[in-house]
Amino acid sequence: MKLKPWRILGIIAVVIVITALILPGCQTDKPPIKNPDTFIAASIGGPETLDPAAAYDSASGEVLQLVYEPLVYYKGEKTDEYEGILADEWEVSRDGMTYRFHIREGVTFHNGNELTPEDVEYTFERALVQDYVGAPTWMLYEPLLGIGTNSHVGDDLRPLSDLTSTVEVVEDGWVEFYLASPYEPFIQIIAGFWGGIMDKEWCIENGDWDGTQQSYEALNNPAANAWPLDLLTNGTGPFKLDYWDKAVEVSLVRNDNYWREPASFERVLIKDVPEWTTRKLMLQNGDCDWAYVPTLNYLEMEGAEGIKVYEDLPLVQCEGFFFNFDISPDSQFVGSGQLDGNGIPLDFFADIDVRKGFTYCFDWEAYIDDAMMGYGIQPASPVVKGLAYYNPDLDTYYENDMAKAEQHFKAAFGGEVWDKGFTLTLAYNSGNDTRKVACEILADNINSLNPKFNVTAAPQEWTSYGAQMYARILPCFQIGWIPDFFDAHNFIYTWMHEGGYWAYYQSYNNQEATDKVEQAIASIDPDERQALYDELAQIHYDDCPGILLVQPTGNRFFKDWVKGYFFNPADSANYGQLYKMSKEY
Amino acid sequence: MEFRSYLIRRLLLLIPVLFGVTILIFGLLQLFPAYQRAMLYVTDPRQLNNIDEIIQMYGLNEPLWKQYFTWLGQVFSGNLGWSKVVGMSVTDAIFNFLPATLELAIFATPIIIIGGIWLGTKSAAHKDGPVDHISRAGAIVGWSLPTFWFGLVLLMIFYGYFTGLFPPERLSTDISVIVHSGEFTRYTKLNFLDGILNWEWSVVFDALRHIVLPVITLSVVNIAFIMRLMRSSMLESLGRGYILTARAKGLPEKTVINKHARRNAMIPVLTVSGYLFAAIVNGVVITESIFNYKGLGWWAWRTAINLDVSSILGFALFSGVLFVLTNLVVDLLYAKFDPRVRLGGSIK
Repeated sequence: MKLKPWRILGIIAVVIVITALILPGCQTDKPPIKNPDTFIAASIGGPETLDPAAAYDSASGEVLQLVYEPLVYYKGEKTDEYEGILADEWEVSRDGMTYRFHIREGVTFHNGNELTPEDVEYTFERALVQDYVGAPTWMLYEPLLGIGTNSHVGDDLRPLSDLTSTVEVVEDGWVEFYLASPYEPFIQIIAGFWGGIMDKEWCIENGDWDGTQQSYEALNNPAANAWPLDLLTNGTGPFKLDYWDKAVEVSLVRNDNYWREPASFERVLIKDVPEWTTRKLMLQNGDCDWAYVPTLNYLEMEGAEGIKVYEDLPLVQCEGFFFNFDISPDSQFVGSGQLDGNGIPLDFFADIDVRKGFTYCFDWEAYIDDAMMGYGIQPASPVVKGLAYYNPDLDTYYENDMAKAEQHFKAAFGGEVWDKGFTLTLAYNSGNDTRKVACEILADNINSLNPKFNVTAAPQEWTSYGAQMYARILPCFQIGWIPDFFDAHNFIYTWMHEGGYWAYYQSYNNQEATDKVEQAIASIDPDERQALYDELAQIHYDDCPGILLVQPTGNRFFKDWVKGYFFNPADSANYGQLYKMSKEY
Repeated sequence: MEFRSYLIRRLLLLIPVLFGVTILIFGLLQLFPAYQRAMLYVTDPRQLNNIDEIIQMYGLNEPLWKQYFTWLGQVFSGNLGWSKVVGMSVTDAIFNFLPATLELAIFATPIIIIGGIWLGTKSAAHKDGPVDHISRAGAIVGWSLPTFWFGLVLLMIFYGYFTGLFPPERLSTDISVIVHSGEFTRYTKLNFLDGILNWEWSVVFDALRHIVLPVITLSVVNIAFIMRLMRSSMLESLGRGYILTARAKGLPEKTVINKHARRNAMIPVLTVSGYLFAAIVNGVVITESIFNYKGLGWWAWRTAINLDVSSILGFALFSGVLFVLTNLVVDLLYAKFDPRVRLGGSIK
């Protein structure tokens, strides 16, 4: 009998279905390790540049931390203990103004050149010379030349000698840094990926700064991605750049001449996979060893086979509501702009009772459970867990207390707020559901107090949200901060110093706080610093310039054959330190 | 001579059309207020202190016509701006992502056209029979399937369930490393073609394996479209007098349908096919995004959700020009092959 084509197709289909149903059952417990010598990360977004003095995004940092090495780095999971990497010894002078590093001998760059103390001096001078406006170089300027400085004095370039005199090679392989004033987190700053040591000879060969004034003028604050070493790398690290296929993947190969034992992985591939389902399937299939999983998708991954999850890792981040003390007259979020029930005056949040009324209306339990799905804790101070000078014993927490909120609203503006009511729109960036929920919680609770209170929430497209925040158009804004280094200063300055990143945009100016922030960073006495940061936490509580919403916690998802991962918030890569990791059962 | 003058006339007409395209695209850009357009030049929040300076530097508050000509001048010098999302110039990005999409179009278009024509013919020839009903129902279902849903289902089945059978992306890890190695020359950046040219069959095989699902996704939706068009065109042809004549002459039904009816019915389908190819080359946004297949569509998706305006504009310009050119080619082919199309001369 001749089979009709559709019958043949039908039989094939049945066979496929049966095989598919049987096959998974036949699998052994542990499937073979895919690509055993390659670590594959399925990430989102790619590096912006591979120049350590220009890169300031974590995707660039991910690559740079594998290729370049700093003088010192954080020890294991600690953020307050360090181990020597390219420095085998270091000391800090008693006055905290001079940092000395002895440079390790016998280390070679990927091109074979030997590491010298001159390379170290050159690396930092070059960063100061380049001083690209979007770069992390401010972190070097702050301790080496004083807070708020950069390569310009007014419109003029600072003399080259000002920059080059901050770091010098001294006798017998030692390099010294001379600080403008004591700055305890300096050691953390040079541990960042912007502190990766470069090869002087190679840099000059490739058209970078050659030490002259002329070259300084030509290379200072270059146009984005126009710097000579945007795409080239030559570090001392455990991996060498193989290729960078932009928007597709970065490939690195093992450095077999590494000064320590060569890494276990022969190759590292960091892929850009923006679509979540694809990343998820890749991880499940073992086509990647780590995948970025957004918090909202944590539940989907529960009980997934062959996946190892590291849970509740304390991310060193803080999300907050910031009240705008001096709203721009251009704001469309303030209704009539008067305290007449149809709007708010531009100095609405300058009244402490308004700020406290808002704060007591916020419900952290609902927010962390619903919007954060339980992945977060309420911070007591901008100095969150994981930072030096974090104090777990502080009790400067607000709690949701509607009675106290009512009391403060009744006192605000001499009782006018309560009598006349107000209308206000809270903005959040569209697509950010966590921020949306925070706005809604606040709005609902405030509106429930008094029928004359009318608070609503409205989404704004992200670039517009950002621009309006900086133009002081938003009456209050919600935003987070991730650390540059792990000292209280990085957060407290941002929140409480008049020139601090967020404080500046909310026009918050508390002289006492500003003074204490400056006093604390210039102190070399840890006890004094601790006391000052605790006092600042109290000031934040009393003055209530904003609401400290949450310090998020996070999970990391690996294929179960990946070994050796540990969490250190200083690692740019969410998958940790690959040099210390391997693939095995 | 007629055809030549027609060609020249059409080419001259291109100039105002392209001019119109640029004005439209530039007009779109004006929907964003100056400070938002300025945000595109901001790479670091600290620069936001100087937003006015940025507006001034890039002339964002100058009169519209002045901004337009500045922009046009840039376009003519080949500078379409910087694509922030992928970290390269927009021109580079177009050339970088085009081959992947071209590869997809080269495989998908013939399948869609031949499949659509074949199904449409069958359906019309067996009008109201089971074949017709099934293929029409299939067409409605295929046409109605949301691409993102269908793509995800395919991915879940053929990559998730049948572990790794047809993977996403353009190449597997080990093959990608081969392609990027010094021994492999990327002549065209079309992976399967480069594989053949380098005599590296693992690359060819791997490239084909990765292209299967995106091609199926595209085909199922678009075959339905061509099939319906072909069916109605075919039915019209079949009702014509010359078909009756052919049948009366006693020609076999196969010849009547394939030679007499189908050839004439194919003209509208060929017109649409030109656009179809252009549309696929212009980037099949959803298909490419789902399969992490990095072509123009993937890039367009990333730039759109990141409001990378210079890229969006560059992409829109590329699409516009491509469509205008495709339109021209289709019209010319029409004039060449369909004697009924008058070339503007007087009827002799």
